[in-house]
Parts: sequence; C-alpha cells; structure tokens
Amino acid sequence: MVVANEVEKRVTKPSVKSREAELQRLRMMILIRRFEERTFQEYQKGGKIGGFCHLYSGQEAIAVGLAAIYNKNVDALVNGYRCHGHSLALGMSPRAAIAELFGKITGCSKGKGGSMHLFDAEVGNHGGHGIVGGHIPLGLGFAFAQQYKKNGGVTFCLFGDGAINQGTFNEALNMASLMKVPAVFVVENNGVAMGTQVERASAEKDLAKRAAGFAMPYGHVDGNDVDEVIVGFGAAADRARRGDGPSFISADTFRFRGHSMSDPLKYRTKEEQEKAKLRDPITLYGGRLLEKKLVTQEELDAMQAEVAAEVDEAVRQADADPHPPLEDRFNDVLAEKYPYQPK
Amino acid sequence: MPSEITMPQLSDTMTEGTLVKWKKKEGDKVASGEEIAEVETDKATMPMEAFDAGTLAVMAIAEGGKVPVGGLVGVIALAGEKVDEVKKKYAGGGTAKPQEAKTPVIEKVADQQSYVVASHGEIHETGADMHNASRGTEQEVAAATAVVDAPVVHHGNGGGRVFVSPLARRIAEDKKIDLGQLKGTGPGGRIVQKDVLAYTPADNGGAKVAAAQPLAAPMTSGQKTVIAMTKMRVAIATALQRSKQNVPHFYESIDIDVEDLSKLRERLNAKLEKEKVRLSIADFISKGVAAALLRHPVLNSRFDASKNEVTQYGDVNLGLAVSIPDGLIVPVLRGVQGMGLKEIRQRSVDLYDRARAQRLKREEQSEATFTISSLGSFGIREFSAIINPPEVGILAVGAAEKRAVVRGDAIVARTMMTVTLSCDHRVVDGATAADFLKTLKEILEEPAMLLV
Amino acid sequence: MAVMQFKEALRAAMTEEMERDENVFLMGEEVAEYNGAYKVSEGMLKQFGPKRVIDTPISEAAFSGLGVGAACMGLRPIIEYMSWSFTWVCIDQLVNNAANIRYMSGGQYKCPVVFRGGNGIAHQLGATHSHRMESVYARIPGLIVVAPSTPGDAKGLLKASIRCDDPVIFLESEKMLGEKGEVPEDKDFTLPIGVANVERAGADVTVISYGRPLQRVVRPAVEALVNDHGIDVELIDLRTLRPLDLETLVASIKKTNRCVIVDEDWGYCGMGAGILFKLQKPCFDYLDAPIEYVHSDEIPVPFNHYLEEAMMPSVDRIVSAVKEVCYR
Repeated sequence: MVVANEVEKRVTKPSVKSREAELQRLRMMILIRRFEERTFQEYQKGGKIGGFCHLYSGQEAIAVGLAAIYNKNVDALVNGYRCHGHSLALGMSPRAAIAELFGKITGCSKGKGGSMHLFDAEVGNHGGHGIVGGHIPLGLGFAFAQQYKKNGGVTFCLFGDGAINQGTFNEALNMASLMKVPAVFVVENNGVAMGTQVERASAEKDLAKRAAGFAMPYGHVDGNDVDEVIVGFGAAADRARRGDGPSFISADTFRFRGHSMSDPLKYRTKEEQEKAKLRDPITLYGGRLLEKKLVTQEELDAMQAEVAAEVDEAVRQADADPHPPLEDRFNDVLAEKYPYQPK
Repeated sequence: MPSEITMPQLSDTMTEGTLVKWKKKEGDKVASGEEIAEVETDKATMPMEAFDAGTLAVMAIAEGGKVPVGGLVGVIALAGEKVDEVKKKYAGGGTAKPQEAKTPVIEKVADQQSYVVASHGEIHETGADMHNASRGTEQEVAAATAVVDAPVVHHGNGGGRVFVSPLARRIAEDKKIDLGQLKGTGPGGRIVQKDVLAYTPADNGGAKVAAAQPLAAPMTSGQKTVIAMTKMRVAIATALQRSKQNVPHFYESIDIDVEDLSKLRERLNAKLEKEKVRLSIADFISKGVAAALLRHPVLNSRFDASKNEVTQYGDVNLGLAVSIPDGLIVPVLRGVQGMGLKEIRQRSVDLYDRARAQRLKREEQSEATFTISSLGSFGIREFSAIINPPEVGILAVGAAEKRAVVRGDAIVARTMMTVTLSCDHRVVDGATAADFLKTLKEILEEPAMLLV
Repeated sequence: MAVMQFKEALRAAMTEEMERDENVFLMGEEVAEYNGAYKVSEGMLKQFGPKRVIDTPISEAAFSGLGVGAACMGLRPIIEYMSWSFTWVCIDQLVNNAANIRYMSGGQYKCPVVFRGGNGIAHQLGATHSHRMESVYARIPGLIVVAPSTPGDAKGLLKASIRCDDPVIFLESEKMLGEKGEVPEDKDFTLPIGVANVERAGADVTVISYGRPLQRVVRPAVEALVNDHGIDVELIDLRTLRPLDLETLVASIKKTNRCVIVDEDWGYCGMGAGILFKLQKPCFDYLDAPIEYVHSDEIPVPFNHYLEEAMMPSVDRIVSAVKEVCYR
C-alpha cells in the first residue's frame, strides 16, 4: 500500500468526452448499482457485513460525473460515509471494496475501516468518514495543501444534506472562502437526513444558498444526470484550478434505499418512490446513449451481464479471503516506533 | 476454638526449642496442666504442659523437631469439638499426617523422616527438596500464618488476616520469615518492609520498631555473593589507591563552635522562605573555606610532581564529594569566592542533583582546587579523607552537634563541629595547615568575618 | 546554552524547524499579525510571511481539521490553540480524524501534525478555560501526548514533535511561558518522545509528575522533602504522557518501593489514575505502601484566587502524601 504523503505521481488522466468514455460512465453506474444491491443481499444474509452500511443506489450519477473530471494525479476526494460509489468510480476494485465491507485483510483498509471508511490514498480518495460533517475540515486541509504546494489539484469535499447543519460546514466553508483554497464543496441533497426531511432541518430550503453567507459562488446541478454533473462540477473545478477559490454545489438527487440497512423508508410514500424511479440516473443516461445510437440494447444487456458477473466474482473472492490475523490489530496505529528520537 | 500449643519461651535467651519426646499420642485425652511433651531449650529439658483439657488432635512436630518460640507444636480439640475436623483444619485437608502439612516453616528431612523447623537466618540443610518445601504457595503461607500466629497480638484488623504490604510479603518469603511472627507498624497494623527487615527471631511477635533508615537485606547464613566491580568502582579504587600510596598525607583536626552560625542560618532561612531557598551549614562552610583558601593560597593549588611545580589559583573551585549508589562523585563548584550563600546553595543543589542522576558534564567534574567531603548527615563526628591529586588538600567535615564544652569555667552546651584537613606534605607544612584551620575557625565562629 | 524564556524556546523550535523544512507552517488564532496571543510566535510572520504563518478565524474545528488534512498530504502543520480548553469544540477532529485516519485506512496515511497551546489551570480563568486535557487525549490510541516542564525540554520536545510522523498533542502552560531556563542552541538538539527524565535520582520514594504541576509545586516539594525531611526522593518528569515510559517508572519503583503521582487533573479517570493503572501490576510485589495520587479537588475550577489555589495540589499536600507512603 502506498502512503499518500509519498505519492508523487499518480497514474491516470481525467476522462475525455468520447464514445468509449461515455460507455465507461454508464458501465460504472451499472457497476455501482449492482455492487450496492449485491451488498444489500450480502448484508441481509447476516454475519457477513457488520455494523452500519449506507447504500448509494440512485445517486450514482454524482460519483461517476465527478470521476469524469477528476485528475488522479493531483485531485483529492473526501467524503461522508455513503462512500462505496465514489470509491468504485475512482477505480477501487469491487473486490477491495466488498472485502472491506466483509472486514477481510484484502479490503482497501485491511478490514480496519469498514463500509463507512473506504480509503484509496493512491488516487487521492481520502476516505469515507463516519461522523456526519466531521470530514469537511479535512477537505479544507487537503485543498490548503494543494494550494501550499501549488500542484494544480482540486479537492472535492462531498457530504449529505444532514451535514450542512453541522458547525464544521460553516467553519470550513468560511475559511475556505477566506483563504481561496481550490475546493469544490458538494452537498449530495437526497432530500432526507436519515428520516428528517430537508424542510424540517434547514430554515433555508434552498441549500445552495447557504454558501451566500460565505461569499462563495453556488448553484445546483441535477444529481441524477451525469452530463449535468460533469458540467457543473467541471466549471467549479476549473474555477478552483485557476486560483479563484471554492464553490458550493447542491447536487440534487434521490436515494432509492433507506438511510442504512435498518431503515424501512417509512417516511417515503410509494408514489414518491415510483416517481423517483422514473428519473433513475442509469435509465436516463442509458436512454440517452441509446438515443444517440452510441450503444445498442443488446450491448447494454451484455454490459449488464458482464458487470453482474464481475461483481459476483468479486464477492466470491472476498468471501474466500482471510480475515486479518489477530496480531494485525496492533499494526498501523502509529507511523513511528517509540521511543522516537528524530534523526 | 481448638487450643493451640505453642513453643513456650522458657528462658530469655531462648529462640527455639526442640521437642524431645511426646508424652501423649494423637487422640489421647489431656487434662489441663498435664504434661504432654518434653522440650529442650538451650539450657535444659523441661516438661511442657497443656493449658486446656481436651483431646490431642494434632501433633505438628515429630520428636527431635525444632520449633521457634511461639511456633505451633500441637493442637488440642476442646470439649464439643471433633478431633477429625480439627485435624483436617490444621493438616491442609487431612490427606497428610499433621507433620506433613507443608508450610514455609516446616521442612522435611528426607533421609531421617523427621522434621525440623527453619527459623529466620537458620536454614537447615535437610535434603534436596528443601527449597521447594520451604517456598510454599501463597495459600500455604496464609495457612501457615493462621497456624502460627496464635501468640501474636493482632492490631485491630479483625478476622485474623495479616495485613502486609506486597513488598514486605515478598521479602518475608525470600528470607523465609513467618509473617505471623511480625508486628506491623504501618497503618492498621500493616506489616511493611521495615518490619520484616527489623525482624530477628527473638522478637517473638513483639518486633521492635526498626531504625528509620531501611537496612539492606542481610544475607542468610551460608549464602555468598560475588559482585563484579563496576567501571566506576574500579576507577575510584585505582585513583584512591594511587593517592594514598604516592601522596604523603598528614592530618590536622580542629573543633569549631558553630552555635552562632546555626542561629544566623535560621534567621536567614526565615527571610529566604519566600524564595524557597534553604541554606545549609554546608553552604556556610563552602563560603568560609573559600575565604580561608584565598588567605592561604598554598592550599588552593594543584601540584605537578613531574615538573615539581605548584600552581596556585585566584579562583576557588571547590570539589564537593557526593555519594551515589556504589560510588562517589565530585562535582566542582567554580568561582566560589565570588558567590553569595544563596548562589552557593542553588548551584550546589543543582550539582548534587545532577551528580546523583549522573548527568554531570565532564567540565563540571574537573579542575577543582580544593575538596570538601562531609559525613555530617550520617552523624559522623570526625574522619579523615584521601586527597584527590593534583589537589593538595581536602577537608573532612563531621556533624554539627550539641556538645558539652568549657566556656570560662562553666560547662555549656554548644553546637560544635570537628573538621579534619588532609594535606600533601610535599607542598603543605603542618604550620601552614594549622594557620588555614585557624582562619577557617575564626570565620565560622564569627560569621560576620565573611564580610571582612 | 542560552538562557531563554519558555515561549522563546518554543519559538526557537518552530523557527528552526520552519527554516529546515518548507513543509512546516504555523496556523492558529492571532499567531500572525497580532504576533501570538501570548507572543509565542512573535516575529514569525515577519520572517516567514503570510503563506506559512497564518491567522485563522475563531473556528477550531475548521483549522484543526485543516491541519489533519494538510498533514495527510505531506505538510507538517503546527496548529496553535489559544487554550487547550477550546478544543472541546473540535475534539472530533483530533480523536476521530487525527488519531484514526492511519489505522482505519489500513496504514495509508502518516499524519505529522502538532497541536500545541496552553493547558490546565492558568489562574483565575474560571471553569471553562481551565481544563486539563491530558487525560482526555492521553487515552486515545493514535495520538502522542507531550508535556514539557522546562524551556530546554520545550525546545527539544517540540522539535522532535514537528519531525515526528504521528499527530502530537503538545501541552504547554500560559503560566510557564515567561519561565526562564537553559536552552541548547544547537539546531539539531532534540529530545526523544516516549522517554521519561529521571530529574533527580533518589532511594526512598518515586515522585512522578510532568509539565506545569511539576514546575509549580512538585520541584519545591521535593526540595523540602530532601532538605527538611531527609527523604531521598527520586523525581521523574514524564515528558511524554502517551506513550508512557513504563520501563523507567517501574525500574524506579522497584528501587524505591514507594510512589506518589502528582498532577493537576481531577483524580477520578485522571491522568494519574491512568498511570496508576499501568503501574499497579508490574510494581505490586515491590510496593511497601499503596501508590498515592495527589490531584486537584473534584470540582469545577473556581474563579476566586483562594478557592482556585486551594483546589490544586500544594507543596504541603505533596509532602504529606510522600511522608504517608514513607510511613513517616
């Protein structure tokens, strides 16, 4: 595992707009969906995935749109705990992700992070974080470091609509704006913080406007539409890269599953659910590619099957992978050996 | 409660007795005052009588066995008590004969099938399993304690449990001391380290209060330990031997009345309390010695025998001998002639502390022009010290103490101190040394001389 | 050796490390243009400019998290708090982000950040501003906690903390910043983290303390014990509270058979209570008396000077505790 601080050069370049890239995005959204639905099944089997588990189904366009403009060499992502989709979109293998959910040694965090704490430092994916809003100051820090090092990187700091009511949101966005750090703050507004609708939690119903108090440009993107996400995030990222400072985007979306595995979605009506499904990001984007004749239905079906097989294989492997040895629990607590005498 | 028969103290020098002969056997009825055994002391063989009537339930000692005074010899089951139960209680479950109950104090003599009791400091070579038998587990220790502590007055801790600090328990185990024999002086009668260390078998439970200083654990008879000298010890040995062999020492002592100086010290300390400075007599001596040395520069010098040169110094760099575990170290207080008492105090304490922590720098241990060694805090009245060449003198300072002295025609109590100067006769003569001591005496007896 | 104030020693440490490594920067409230709330960073803005000496709004959570994030990306932030009491509002950044990110990422990060500022009771600041945070942070795996008691130690330990690849909680005291002492001027002078200092060797009793209480009451108490009571105290300055240098402590207690711990924390679940837990088993068979723990009264810190003074360990309390364990 490469230690983030030591990563000098990362591997890939941001995707360009091409048929291949567009098909890749569709495929990734399908992969995330398949992964999450399979995770749902695995969780329900009991004893395989412990603890909290928050699924991303329905919000895939945001992660995939972000990945399309993300520069793995210099950019950074820091995220809340609903982090499976983003990690896959930035290139984490389904096996490393599901193995982490299973707590296996082959997981991206060697089984010590779990569902809420997927990390892939090598591509600047600085984690899923379990405390609502607790990671927003970290995003400020990553952006500060990019500015300090003048490496042209941008930090994407993502969180849910619950997190913006935390003090950290207000402190970090204010400082980010004061210091003009290269950050894009994104609220993935799926309309409900666990069971509390935005209307019941935020006096300002238009969440994007919260940034007005920090003199920060803000706006909305349709979080179910990959192309819109790419345009919106791309503009904000360009602004940041130019040195003009941070922006705040409300990416409006809908989650299909409960907040976590134990959430029966009682606060949603069937009608709401059905209506939302009509704007399923995968259907939307798939339809668009079919319309543009970039893909045929047969190719789409084949893609579905291929992804399903890939996820199944990942689960099969992760299942067979070993748990970390018990003595491993003492590793990676500290970087230095103590007593520590500087050289 | 069954009646315990313990080894009586039959003479004031007796620490243990030998059970020569049992007059009764297990299960025999015993009347009060009836002779049950013969006991041999260091002086005579005496009959041993039962205090209580009942049935002899336990014979803790075989004939020929030794028991310390107060140690268990046997147990009588009183009326209404079942002999078997009493036996069981004292025999560790009744699986063994009473004699075979393993306790730290009873050891089996493998080849003679008899039993001896080892008391403190007197381990009998009784066979290969002696060590194991004498160690005992914690429970066994407790059991043994319960058995043997009958004559011990307990100290309000109730329930008969012996309260003992973990350290004291460990030392007692190592030294095979029966905790039941000890009287604790800690809170609630807790037996603490000093109680164990102060214990001698004759104490018979009425342990004397130990000396204030904990003593090093004495070695047991027959034991010997070879200790390799540390590097520091070797260095000290070499240096001192060389000095004593090569330097022609002579010694002069003088008594100094430090009554006024002590009072002055108290007055100054009261004034310095706010600054948390507390002057000691030693600080005055440093100051006085520095002043005297400036007037007698012959003593404030270093001698190079190879060149037949003596270098005298205008600065007084005082070596202050400090004892540290297994050695001594001499930090150097530099430029004492220019220091006030407070500065002397603060700098000396710093040097002492760092000397004890062995954190002195090399330059803080070299280039002394004269050395002072004091054993006053140990109560030493006077002593002589070995010169630390190339210095030519060292002052040995004894304790400041009240002595009866003659003033005019009266005998009065004065705080007195004796100092002894060792000199290198190659450089210093007797009269020179005496002059120096006279000056020092004048200064310390009239501290205002320090101002002159 | 130069004689310097505690704050000058801290400044020297930061300045030298910033000259040595361009990734080191200082951030906090009033550190730059105001020259430091307590003047620790006086002149540093002038020397290093606003890129590396950075004022923040009163947003402890934001700039603490900033420090963690920047450290994970290879910078070496020094985050100054005006008071450690203020970290109650940002504690999540320290105990969740700084302490956990390495572990829960399976070792993907180093987090070389130093958080520093005044800790403990600093005279009449009242209950909110007088928290002793050592026991709060010293119980967190993934954090290093350092508490110097002299200007020289402050410099050596701060330089080591800045070079160290783990997050360090560095506890100073507002009341010590003016304290003078000898400080090595060597730019490579550092002190090891995780090593206690046997400040005075002694045979009768081990006294353990650290930081401000050591300087305020423990040293005078030890002097009184040695000079007036003839008790030969072995005094240990912990210097590092986590990881605890258990080896030095246990070796000392095996020698003296007695121990008194002194801090200004509350006793229950306090710093000393934690140390006591670590000592009781390895030292059990060597103890001649129960370990004594001298700590502050278990009340919020009062404003009134006399009440405040009364709640804290005093020379007298320490002397009687030591005499008690010595059965004197």
